[in-house]
Amino acid sequence: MNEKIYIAICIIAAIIPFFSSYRQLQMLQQNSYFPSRYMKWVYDSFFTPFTGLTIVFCALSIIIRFNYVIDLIIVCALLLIHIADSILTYKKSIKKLVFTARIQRILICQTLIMLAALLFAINTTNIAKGVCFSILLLLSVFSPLLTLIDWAVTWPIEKAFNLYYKYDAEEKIDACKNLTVIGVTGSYGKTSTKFILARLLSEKYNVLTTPLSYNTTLGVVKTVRNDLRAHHEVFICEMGAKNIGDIKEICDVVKPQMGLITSVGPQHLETFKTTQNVFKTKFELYDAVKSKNGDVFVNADSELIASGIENKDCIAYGTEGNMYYAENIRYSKNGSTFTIVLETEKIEVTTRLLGHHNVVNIVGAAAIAYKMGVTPEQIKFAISRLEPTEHRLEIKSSVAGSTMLDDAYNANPEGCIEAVKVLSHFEGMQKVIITPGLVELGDQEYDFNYKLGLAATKVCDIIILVGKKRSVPFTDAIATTDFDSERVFVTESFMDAMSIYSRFADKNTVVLVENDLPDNYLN
Amino acid sequence: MKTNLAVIFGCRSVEHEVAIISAVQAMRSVNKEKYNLIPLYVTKGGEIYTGDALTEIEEFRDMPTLLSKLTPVSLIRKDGAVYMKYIGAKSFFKKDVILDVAFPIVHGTNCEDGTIAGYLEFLGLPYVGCDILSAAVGMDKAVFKDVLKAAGLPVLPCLRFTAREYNDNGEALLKNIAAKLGFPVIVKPINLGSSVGITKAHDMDGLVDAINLAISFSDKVLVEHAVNNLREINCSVLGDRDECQASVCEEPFMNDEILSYEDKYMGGGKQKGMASLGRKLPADIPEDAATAIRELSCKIFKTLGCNGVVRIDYLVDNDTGKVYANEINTIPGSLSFYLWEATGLSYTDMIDKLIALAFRRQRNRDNLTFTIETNILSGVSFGTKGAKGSKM
Repeated sequence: MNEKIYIAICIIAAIIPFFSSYRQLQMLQQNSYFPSRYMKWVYDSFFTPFTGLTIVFCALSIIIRFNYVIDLIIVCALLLIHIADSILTYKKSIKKLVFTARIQRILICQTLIMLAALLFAINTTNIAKGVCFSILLLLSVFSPLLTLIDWAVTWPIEKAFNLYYKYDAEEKIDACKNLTVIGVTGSYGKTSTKFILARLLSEKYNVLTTPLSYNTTLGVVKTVRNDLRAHHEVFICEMGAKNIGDIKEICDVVKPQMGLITSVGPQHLETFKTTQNVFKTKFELYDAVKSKNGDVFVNADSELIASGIENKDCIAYGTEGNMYYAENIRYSKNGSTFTIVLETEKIEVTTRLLGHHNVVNIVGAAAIAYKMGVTPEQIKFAISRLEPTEHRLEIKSSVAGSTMLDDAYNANPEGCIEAVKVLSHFEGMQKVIITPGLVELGDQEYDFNYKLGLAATKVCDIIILVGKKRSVPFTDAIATTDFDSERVFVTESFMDAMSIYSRFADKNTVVLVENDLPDNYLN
Repeated sequence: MKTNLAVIFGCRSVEHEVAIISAVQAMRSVNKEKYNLIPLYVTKGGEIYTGDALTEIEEFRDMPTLLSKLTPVSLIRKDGAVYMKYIGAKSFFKKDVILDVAFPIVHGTNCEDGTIAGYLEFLGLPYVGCDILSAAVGMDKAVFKDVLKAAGLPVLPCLRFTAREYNDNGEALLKNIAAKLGFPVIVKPINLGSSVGITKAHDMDGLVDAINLAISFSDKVLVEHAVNNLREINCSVLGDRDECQASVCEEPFMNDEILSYEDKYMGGGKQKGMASLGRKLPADIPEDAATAIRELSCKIFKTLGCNGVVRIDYLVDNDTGKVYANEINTIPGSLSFYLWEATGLSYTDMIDKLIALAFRRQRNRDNLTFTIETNILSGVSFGTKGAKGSKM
């Protein structure tokens, strides 16, 4: 009798992890299968009162381990709790666990592990039985442990799969004889440049791009395997790097014939250590393209690029002095207007995209498009049709025929200063800024907002601040200048700010809405 | 890697067989190095089949045998692409096939009139040829004339009515035709291609017979004044709304007073379609007249917003020298390849060009659409159960 109950207990204990691991696998997946990131989540969130309760149950069952009936009750209770918990988790979570091929492989692995543990627990000697049962229960309840074992066991299999996928993508690229691959990399601006280039080249070619900001080897491999079709003539591949060799790895798969390097800057220094290493990594694209005798376009406005390309055969673009450049840049309610100089050709263009960085990105894209035979007329048309990203210096019309620069999603200090600079270029217009300042900058928050305040006094005619407490650094900064305090307003909400704004707004007014925040920050 | 090209043909149309001839001809000229040909045959019942047998014209002589060699399929959309899905008993082990581009070769109502364009638009599959609007306008002879007239392009005066109007006020209508247009007249069923049901009437008796024939094909009828001393000139246009070019002109031979269905598709008894029809190619007209017709053809093509290859048929009044646009075929018989061969473009290259145009239109559309990431419905609820007309 006892024997049968023992077997039942073991079976139930072996079933528990299939429920308890739902949340674990979900988090492992959402942390991109990085055990370190996943463990950070476990450390931060696993030990809830609920897990405490489970541990108490578990401890109880081990203490009273030779009373099978009590064990059975406890195990059943645990099973029920975990079923309930997994159902609740499933219903509550917005981003659910996706049963991808990889998750399926992990689940198969988990089944095998639990089957082995179960067989061992049932067939062992009497003395070891308690220990085995405890281990089984431990695995079931401390599901992160089991998940980590699953991850470790499937890791070599996954590596093999990735290798196969990479090989498969390489074969597919090689089979597309008429395909031109363009690699785009850089510390900043590569995603927007990629989309601008895609729009320009689509005037003439069937273009495939890596979607969103996919830029890892796996992201590129996935795009090639799933989306590349025979009719594609150009593949624009964004290449990101966190370590030396990352760009080379992607280049080995896609073999780019053209390259575009948008910038080299102090990014991911925790892994790169020095900006020289960043440069070296970005220029792995240069080496790959040059081995195919292709052209590499680089933004020579980026200082680290300009100083490093003396001995390299690059085509430089940017502002004046380069082979391809923009001149006569001005801003109006129609957006940015400037002249692109392409070798002997000059094109006067207007785009709804604002900001110096966008102008430079457009020049880089136009240089490649021109080189690939897109006509100046087509380039001009495509640039006029570029769509700004929502709430990123997006130009809009506002109350009383005034112009709004919606930069609500900008939370990056340099970007904010650049936005104020763009505002300053609206010559002859009344300039207004509405902002609650930047948040979550830690120690630097006060200093930065103080700096932003000073910048605003130099450019703006009217300053509208949102949130009393948040506006302190601004009012402090404004107090040090001779800016008319009658023209500074502190409001409680964005709605109030807009109603004050509407008193001043007319056709000749431009307002910059900088980092407008949800109300929970306001006090 | 090859582009998966789905050639869709047949369909529920009176010109079903003609479409088969046009499609089989085209499929033989497809560049097999570049395209992976997937024939999709739509039966008269509207079911879709695929199979290698569909590329041989002889196979179509015995329909039950042919169908037994084929597999039924349906087109579905999943994961952002369009697939051909095998259905029925033989489908179990067959994997769905992704489609890159569709090439509809169909003639007449229920397909050429924008129906198939709409179906492919709905699926989101790039396709060769006119879009819904230009195909629909091109199919309706009366609307076609209205659009051209509004654009200041030359068409013959006409009258139109429905079968019911004719039933209710036949006498008055006949009198009106005689008074306003004068005999002889041409009577055409509206929205059928390939001259089906078109007759010329010299007097009242002939008119009644002609109308009776026309309303047996369509419930809308067009009557236009017939030019006595006329010749027909056809010209094909290839391109899209941004860029197009016109072919050399042809003059088809007429057995009867107008080019009949038999002339167009049964000529020579060998059933080779439009290509085998008797004609003078290039048409025996002065160079400047030919140039004028080619320019007019491009204007009409752009006015309608056509895409791909079309053939525009003109009537030339020999007495006055005036040219009138008579009708447009948005998917012409044999795709007018013989006109393009005479212009210096091989059929294989022409098909290649048509497919490139399909992708180009798709690119222009993709460039217009931008995704808005936020879902405006995410924050919306109608409050308590059963509440009606809540404000958002």
